[in-house]
Amino acid sequence: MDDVMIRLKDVRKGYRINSDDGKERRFLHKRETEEYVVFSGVDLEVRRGEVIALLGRNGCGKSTLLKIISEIIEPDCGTVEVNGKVASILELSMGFHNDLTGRENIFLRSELYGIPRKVVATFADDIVGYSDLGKFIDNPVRTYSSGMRARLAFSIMVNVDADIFLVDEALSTGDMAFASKASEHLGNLVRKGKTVIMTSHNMRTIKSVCTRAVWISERRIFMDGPAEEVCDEYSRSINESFEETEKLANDGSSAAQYRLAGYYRKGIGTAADMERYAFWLKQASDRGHVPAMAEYADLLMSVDPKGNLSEALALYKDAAEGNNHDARRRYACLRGDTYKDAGFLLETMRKIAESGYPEDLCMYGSVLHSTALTDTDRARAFETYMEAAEKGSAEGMYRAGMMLRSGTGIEADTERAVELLKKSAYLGHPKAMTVLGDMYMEGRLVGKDPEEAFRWYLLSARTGNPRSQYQVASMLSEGIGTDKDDSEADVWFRRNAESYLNAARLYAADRMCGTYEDVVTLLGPAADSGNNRARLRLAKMMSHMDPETSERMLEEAAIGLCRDRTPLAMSLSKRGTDQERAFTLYRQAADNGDHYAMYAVVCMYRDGTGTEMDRGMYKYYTHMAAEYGNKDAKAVVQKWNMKAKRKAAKEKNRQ
Amino acid sequence: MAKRSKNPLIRVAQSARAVYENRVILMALIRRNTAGRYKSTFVGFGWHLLMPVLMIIVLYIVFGSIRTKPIESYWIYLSSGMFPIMFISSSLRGRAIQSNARYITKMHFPREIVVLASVITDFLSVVFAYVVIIMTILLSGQYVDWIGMAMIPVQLLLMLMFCYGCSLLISTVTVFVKDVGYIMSVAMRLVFYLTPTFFLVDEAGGILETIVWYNPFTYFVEVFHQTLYYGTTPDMHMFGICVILTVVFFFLGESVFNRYQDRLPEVL
Repeated sequence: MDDVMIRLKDVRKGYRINSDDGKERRFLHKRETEEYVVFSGVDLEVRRGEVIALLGRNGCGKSTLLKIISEIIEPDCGTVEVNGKVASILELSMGFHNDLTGRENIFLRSELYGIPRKVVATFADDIVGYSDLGKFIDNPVRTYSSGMRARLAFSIMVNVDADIFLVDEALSTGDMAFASKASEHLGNLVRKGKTVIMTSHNMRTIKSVCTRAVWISERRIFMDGPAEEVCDEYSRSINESFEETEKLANDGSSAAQYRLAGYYRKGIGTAADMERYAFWLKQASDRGHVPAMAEYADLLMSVDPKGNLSEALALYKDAAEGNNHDARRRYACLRGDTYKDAGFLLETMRKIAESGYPEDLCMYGSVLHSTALTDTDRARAFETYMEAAEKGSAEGMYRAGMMLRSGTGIEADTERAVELLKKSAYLGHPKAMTVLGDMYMEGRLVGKDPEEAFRWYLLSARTGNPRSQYQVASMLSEGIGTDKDDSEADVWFRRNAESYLNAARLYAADRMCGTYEDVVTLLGPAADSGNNRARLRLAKMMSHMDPETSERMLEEAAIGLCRDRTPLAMSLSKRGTDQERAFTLYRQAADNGDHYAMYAVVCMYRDGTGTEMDRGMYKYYTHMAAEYGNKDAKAVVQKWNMKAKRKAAKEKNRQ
Repeated sequence: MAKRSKNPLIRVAQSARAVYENRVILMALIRRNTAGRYKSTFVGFGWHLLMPVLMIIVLYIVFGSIRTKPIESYWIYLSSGMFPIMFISSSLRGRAIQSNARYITKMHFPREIVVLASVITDFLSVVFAYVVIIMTILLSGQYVDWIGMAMIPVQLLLMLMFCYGCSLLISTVTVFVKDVGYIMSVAMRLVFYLTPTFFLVDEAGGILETIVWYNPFTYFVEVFHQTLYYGTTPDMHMFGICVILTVVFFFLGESVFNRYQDRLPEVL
């Protein structure tokens, strides 16, 4: 492609360094030299119009990379291909002469860029105008502030005739006002079709100025992507770097110890070391770090389930008391298994369900249902399902509907059953759709209606339900409930086969350590055959590399469960293209019990994006999201409560 | 940048061509070195001519007063020898690359330009000085040998090339072995006293007589003495030695610089 301006392939650079052990250098005595590899295997492609920031710690090779691109130094191996003229000066304010005036310096510096004096004279006035230095332009540069210097330097650079600009430590000089204007200057460059690569440590400015950031670490390109993401990840890693964490862990911070254990397990910033992992996990767990206790208990169980049982149980119990749901479940199951104590399991699940999450309610319901001995228990299960259903859970509606249909524990109520199942199906619950299809097909409880059955099967089939796919295929091939269409039938037969394959594919993808391409090849067919999990995963992976495909995946996934509509809404609202649609999608997901979506709806009502500003709805959804366990919403509600309390107290005082 | 040839002659041609293509940068660097030197003074540009005059007066007062045997027109002898030796010693101090490290590490251009610019900057003040000296000689009605006069520009250019070679050599070595810089600044002081600038060559006796003729700079200085002070055509034997020294140091400096120049941005 011709708009690739710079292409580095497999570039490696090492420096010879003399080991300086503090001894005086002896005459004619050859010092030991060793090679320090700055980076190796660096591949980088830069396109026209990109503004790229190079990130990394001091000495990671940012400047070296710039110097290699500008041919100041040569790489040890690999190829550097540069299409276009490179502005040859890396340092923004280099070459200014303090005693000369701003105008004279314009000439001097332009000449350093290789522009003859006569040519400079033709656009010197443009530079003066652009620099906005006014009468100061005829004062010596030594009287300038650092911001004015940088402004002058930028003005000259913008007028230099080159295609690629490389700037080392671009925004380190200059006052804050200037830094905020830097984006304007760089924007001007980009508008002229130039390409900019710079190094800087100023995250805020990078985020506002750059389109892309490249993070160099561990002697390679560690991360490459949109500036904002890479910057966030980078600042996070600086705060949570291995060294920093180790220091904190040694000082006794349990959170740091837990994090450090994670680093040892995954081998981040250090070699993976299972013994140290266990050691730090135990430290954190001893200090009462809740997730650490749960994880340490997991570890104990995986090493020796019998011998460590009592210790693990104690840890799970402590973690469970610390409100860790995973630990509660495991504790409950373990105790249930060990002591055959179903009552305890139920009690724990009930506690979990108190959080109000529809999913937890459903789980509690299913435990109630499966351990039920009497109809009273079953009725309680039904009530739990209904509670989840009222909170918009499709699963809850489906379960409740099924109980109503068969009349387990409660009186059968066909009408309500059908109503609930339909509601669940409309929310995109594939099993509910299939059940409805079955009912219409067999004429059970409802009038036999093959066409209606086919409609439900088809909906469910589209979400990737294998049984419905088979039904659709056979109905098409026999012409029941629809027109006979052999080719379409074959399509569905094939999809049915693929559905079974997809389950295997996803299972494999989750466990693969392969490259991006490997995973895409594996999941691509799964997504194409209608698997939502594959679609969502691909969409997430492709959001930077291939936004269009990513968007398409999200659209397709949104046909299914309401919960799967949130990613599409997120993408839409992030790009700001279609806020109304984003709002509708969020609302559907929110009404289906997705607390993230609820909070998004809250924000949209508050700010009036995609909908009218509505104070009432704002409050309603905030409370709902808080009730469903959304942290942000909870914080807001808490603030409200505090305010109300204070108001009440004031009122009281006045009286 | 095109690959540098292994043949030193072709390499020099390549280098000359690269310098010519980047002459704008060369001019800018020279201007940067000279500009502002006499900026914001009352005399301004006049200082370029006034400085050598004042220098000559000072030298004449100092060295003239300590002489036991006064010699005729001593000021011409002093000044015609003093400026070449000052030029040579400043280029041999080996600071050219180190003091311009920023350009080497942050800019893409033929690196020899940095050395050339600093040599030319010093060279320009020698040229100004000679303009002053020659004008004074002509005005004072001294005897002038016109062939010798005509050879002065040639002689100056020869010295420029010699100093360029020396500067390439010493300043490259100084980057890698810092000690050389200090050794050279002491050595140059010694060389000053071992070169016939304030004494006549004929006056040197004993061991000094031998050493003086082993000192390569004596030849450069003597050629100027012969032309300006004695008013004769320079001795071809001595001129030949100057040419040989220039060629040797030019290629020596060029090849050492070329051998190590790619490592400069990494070491600086």
